[in-house]
Amino acid sequence: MKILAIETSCDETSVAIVEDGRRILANVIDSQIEIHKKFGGVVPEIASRRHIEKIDEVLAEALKASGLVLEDMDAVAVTKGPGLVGALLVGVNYAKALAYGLGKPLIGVNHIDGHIAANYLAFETLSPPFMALIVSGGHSHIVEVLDYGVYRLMGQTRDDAIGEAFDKVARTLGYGYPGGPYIDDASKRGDPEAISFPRTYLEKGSYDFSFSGIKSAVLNYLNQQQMKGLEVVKEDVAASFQEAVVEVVVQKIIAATLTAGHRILAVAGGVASNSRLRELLTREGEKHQLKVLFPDPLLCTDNGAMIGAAAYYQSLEKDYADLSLNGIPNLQLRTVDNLR
Amino acid sequence: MKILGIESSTQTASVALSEDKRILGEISLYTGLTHSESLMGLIDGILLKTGTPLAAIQGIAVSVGPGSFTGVRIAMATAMGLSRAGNIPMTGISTLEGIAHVSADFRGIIVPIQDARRDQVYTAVFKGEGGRLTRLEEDQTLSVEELKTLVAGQASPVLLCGPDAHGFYERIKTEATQLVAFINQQPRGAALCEISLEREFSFEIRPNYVRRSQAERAYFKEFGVHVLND
Ligand SMILES: [Zn+2]
Repeated sequence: MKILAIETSCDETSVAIVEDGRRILANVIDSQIEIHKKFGGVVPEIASRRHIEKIDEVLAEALKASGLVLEDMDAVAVTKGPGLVGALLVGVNYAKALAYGLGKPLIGVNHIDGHIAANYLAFETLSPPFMALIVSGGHSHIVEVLDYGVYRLMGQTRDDAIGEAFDKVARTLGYGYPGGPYIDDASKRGDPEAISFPRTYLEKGSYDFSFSGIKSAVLNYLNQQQMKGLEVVKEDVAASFQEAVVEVVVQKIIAATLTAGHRILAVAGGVASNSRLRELLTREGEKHQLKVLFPDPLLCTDNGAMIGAAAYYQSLEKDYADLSLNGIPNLQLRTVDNLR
Repeated sequence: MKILGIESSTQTASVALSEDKRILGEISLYTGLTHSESLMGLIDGILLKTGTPLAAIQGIAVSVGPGSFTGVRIAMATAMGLSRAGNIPMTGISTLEGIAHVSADFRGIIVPIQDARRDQVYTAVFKGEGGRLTRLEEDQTLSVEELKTLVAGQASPVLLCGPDAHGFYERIKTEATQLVAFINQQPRGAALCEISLEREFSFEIRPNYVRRSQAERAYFKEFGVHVLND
C-alpha cells in the first residue's frame, strides 16, 4: 500500500511516498530554516507563504524521485496538527483536494504520532509495545507505545518544550536559529561542569519536565557575570546548560522505561539529533540492558515520510478523514486516557 | 468549456460552475465559518448537484486575493490539489476584480474595497461600461484618507462596492465627490468563472496578497531588502 504524505506544520514543506508504513519511496523536504534565521525564529505568516509557494513543486519532486504517478497512490495523508494553524491549513487543504480529485481515502495524522512512527521507518522490526521519548521544538513527551497509534502518557513538559529552551538559550548567547545545533556544536568545545545550573526534577516520581527554570538560570548567570565585569565563556555556558537538561531527560526517561517494564526505548523529534543526548542515553540504556533507538537525523526533523508511516497504521483501522478535515493547532496526542 | 470558480479570500466562501458563458450553479456561504472545513464540501456539492464529474472540468478560476491571507491560501491550496489530481489548468483572479465584475453593468468608475484593518483598505479602480470592465488602477492598500482622495479625484460617478463598502461610504463622502452609491457586494464564484473566459490557464498560480507580512515589513525597514519574493 502506497501512501502519499504531506507535512506542513511548521517550517518544512515535505511530501513523501511511503509503502506499507515502512519503506520510503520518496521523502522530499524543502526547509525554510534559511528564511526564518533572518528573523531569529519561525514567523508563522512567512512559513505559510512559503508552504503555498512550494508545496506543488515538492510534490512533483517526490513523484519524480519515486518514479511513480499520482494514480499509483492508495491514500493521501496529511498532518492535521499540532502546529502553526496557517501552515497546517496549506497542507490540509491541498491534501483534501488531492484525495478528492484522485478518489482516494484521506488520512489526517497527528504530527507527534508521525515523530514516533519515524522509528518504524528506521527500524524495520520495531513493533509495539515499547517506550518512546519525543523531544522537539514543540514537544517533550514520555509515552508508552501500547499499539500503533495508541499511547499512554507518562510525562510531558509543564512549560517550554526542550527545543524551545535550546532556542532561547542559544539566542541569549548570541547564536543563530535554530539553537539546538549551535548549542550542540559549542558544547563540544566547552566544559559541561564549568557552571552548575539547576536540574529540575519536580516532585518525586514525576516524569514531567520543566525547562523554564534553567532558562532563567542561564539568563541570571549571564547578568551576574556582566555586573561583576567578568568574561563569559559561551562554550562553557552552552555545555553546562546542555548537560543539565540532558541529564534530567535521560534520568527521567530511563526511570519511566524501567517502571513501565519496557526493554526498547525509541527516541523521536528534532532534539533526538543532539549528540550529547544520544551519547548519554545510549550509555545509560546499556547500563540497564535497554535497547535505545535513534532514527537518522533526517527522520528526526519534520518530514513527510514519518506522516506516511503513521498514516499506514491508521489506514489499517480505516481511520479516515472526510472533506471537513481542518487544521488543529493544539491537537493533543491520543492516549488511552483520552481515546476518542 | 466547463469552469469551476473558487472563492474564499473574504468571509464568504463561494463556488460556481459554468459552461461557456452560462452559469450552471453557485453555492455561497456567508457564515464566516472556517473555509477550511466547508470549501471542499461546497465543491463536492456543486459538482454533485449539477451532475458534473471532476474529469469534465477544464479549468479552475480561483480568487488569489487580496483578502484574508489564510483564506487566499485555502482557496489556492484547494485549486492546486484539484489541478494536480485532475490535470486541470488554473487561472488566478484578483478578489477585487471579482467583486467589481458583479457591478460591471454600472456606467462609471467602480471602486471595490475590502477592509484591510489598521484603518486601511484593499482597493483598485475599474471603469464600467455596460458589462465591460477596464482596469484603471492596480490592486493596492490605501489608508482611508488616501481612498477619499482617490475617489474625489475621479471624473465620472463612482460606485463603491465590496463586502465592506457600507462601512466606508460615509467616511469618504465629500462635497466634491461624485460618489453616487455603494453596494455591499459579496465576492462570488460565478464572477470568477465569467472573468476567466478571457484569461489564460496554466498550472501555476501566484497569490496576490498586496500586503507583505508584518515581519517582512519590519525587516525591510531595518535592512532595506525583502525576504520573500513579492
Ligand atoms: Zn515536529
